[in-house]
Order: sequence, then C-alpha cells, then structure tokens
Amino acid sequence: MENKSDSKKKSRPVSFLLLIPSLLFGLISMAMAVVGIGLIPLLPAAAGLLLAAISFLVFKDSYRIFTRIVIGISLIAVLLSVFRSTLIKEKVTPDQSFDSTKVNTKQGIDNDLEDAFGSDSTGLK
Amino acid sequence: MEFIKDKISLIFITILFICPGLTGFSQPLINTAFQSGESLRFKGSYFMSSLWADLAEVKTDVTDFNSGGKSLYTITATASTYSNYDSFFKIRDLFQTWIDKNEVKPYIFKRVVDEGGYRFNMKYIIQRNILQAKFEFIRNGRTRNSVIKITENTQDLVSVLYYVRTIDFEKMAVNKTVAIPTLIDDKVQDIILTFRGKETIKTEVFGSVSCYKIGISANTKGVVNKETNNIWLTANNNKIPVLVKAEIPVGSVQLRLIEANGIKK
Repeated sequence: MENKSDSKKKSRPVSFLLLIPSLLFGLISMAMAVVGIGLIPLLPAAAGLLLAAISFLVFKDSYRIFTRIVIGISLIAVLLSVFRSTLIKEKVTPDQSFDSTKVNTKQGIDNDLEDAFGSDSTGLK
Repeated sequence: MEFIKDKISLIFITILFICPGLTGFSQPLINTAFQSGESLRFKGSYFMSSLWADLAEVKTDVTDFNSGGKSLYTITATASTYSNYDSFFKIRDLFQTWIDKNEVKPYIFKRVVDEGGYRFNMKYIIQRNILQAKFEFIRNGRTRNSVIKITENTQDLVSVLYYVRTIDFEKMAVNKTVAIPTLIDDKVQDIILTFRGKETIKTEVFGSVSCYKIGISANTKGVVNKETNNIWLTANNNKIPVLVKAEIPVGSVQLRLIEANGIKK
C-alpha cells in the first residue's frame, strides 16, 4: 500500500511536467484556430494531445481530472481548427489605399509620362 | 519582425517579380498573351509540415491608358491579407506600371506599401531614350532621390511578369537560362529564369492544364536560389500564371490562380 502511494507521489511531478506544456499547446492551438490560420493549429494541438495522452496512459493515477481537461482542450482545438479552416471563407476587407485614383491623378501620370518620354525617339503612339 | 517582413517580401516577389523576364531576346515581341480588361486573382498560402494557411490575396488588372497621343497599358497589382489577419499583420500593397502595348516595356512604376505599419511610396520614371531611371523613395515624409542606369531590356517588378508571357517557350531548350535585368529597390538586379519543360497542373480555373515550368532565382535578399522556386504558365498563347511555389527558411509559400477574367482570345 505504501509502495503504491510512494510511486504515485513520484509520478506526479513527471505527469505535471507533461500536462503543463500540453495545456499550453492546447490553448495556443485554440487561439490560432480562432484567428483562423488554416490547419496549422493542428500541429500544437497534436503535440498537446500526445503529451496529455502519455500522461494519461503512463501515470494513470496522477491528476486524473486535470489530464482529462487538458485532453478535452486539445480535442476542442483540433475540431475548431478543422471547422474554422473548412467552413469559414476568407475575404479581403476593402481598403481605400487600393483605389489608385487616391494615389495617382491623371495630371500627375501625364507629367511623369512626359518626363519618361522626354525627347523620346521610339515613335510610340 | 524583420523575418516576417522578409517572408512577406518573398511571397510578393514570388508572386509578382519572380517569374521571369526573359531578356536578351532580340526578336520583336508579339503580344498574344494579354489585353486590356484582363483580371487575375490569386490566393497566397503558407505551407508547413503538409498543413497550410491561406494568408493573402493578390489581384492583377490590365487597363488602357491614353496620354498625349500615347497609348499604354496600366497594370495594377494589389496584395492584401485576409481580414482575419489584418489585426495582426495587415498588408495593403499596391503596384502599378505603365507599359507600352507592343514591346511590354515600362515607363513609370509606382509602389505604395503598407506592411504591418511599415509604409513607403516608391516611384521610377524610366527614361528609355537615355537609359536611366529616376528613382524616388518616400517614407515618413522624407524623400530620397537617385538616378539608376538601366539597359534596353530593363523591366520592373510587375512588367517582368507580363513580359515573360510574351516569350515563345515552345522553341526554347529545356534548362536554358535567361537573365532579365529588373528594377528592384534602388538598383537593377538580374532575375534568372530556367525553362524546365512542361508539366500538367490541376487548377481551380482551367481544370488540368499543360503548363510551362520555369525556375526562378535572383540575387535578391529573401529569395532562395533553389530549384524549388518555380512558376507554371499555361502552355498556350496566353501563358497565364496558374501556380507559383517557393521555398522559404521555414516551410514554403504558394500562389494559386483562383479567378481569371478578360483573357485574350
């Protein structure tokens, strides 16, 4: 009985070291998925899931509830990134800087062309 | 931040510049490739470990421009990040060039850049009769001017893409390389193109289509001189760019044609 208790105590720090980065990976992945950068959030989500799964399988008795929460977060991140990248279509917000008339006036271009051609002898018509 | 800017520059270079300017061709050009009214739209994606993210859209438009009895094309290219990235790293780049219709040579080139708050305006007035370009760079209210020596075939970052579309690749030997002098920042740099033969590419717009595969390299910062930087142009008179792929230090970037209108018949 004491041996089992000792073993559990020893495994807790290792499990903790696996679960904290796993949680961070899961949260980062969720944040990336919310922003919507395609399927790339799957990478940190998969890393988080792997670490949490190791903790769950190897150190079964340590942080059982916390482990399940971390696995849940990673799975939600995976689903979020898949749905976000497949269901929501990207679009460009219209921007005034793209209106070339804001940048160029006809007179300005005429003047620049006159400067470019100068005493041009190319005969361009 | 500089790294991100380099990557963005690379994407853009890949999209606009890179392609090709096969200079050094002595035969007169016959433009069967494009016309006024042509509009192309591309989706820019970033790849990492087989996963991708669609980041930005690039659009090009060709319109007529008449001034003082001269008839030119205005080519406008824009690059913009999708709205979900705007709050993180907003890109709104505008490139414009005025080229003559027959020889596809630029006379004015303008660039208005806003990349994550880094803004500047750039203009070249290209005086072909005396083989020089007046360069103007404006940032934070400060203007820098210089004069750049050019050659007969010097292109700008946008016109080079259209110039290459007028080249007859059917007669070109595989692995033939050509250098195109191109105005990049305040100097002329060669963009090296290598014709790599034909490949069939699956596209959203044309389905599976036979394409010319052209390798790209340059001595420009951010462009990696690898065999993995390529552009695919449809193997017909239009030579429409349908795909661009380039390796970057972490992952790769890709541009895919998603819409094409006003194609020359």
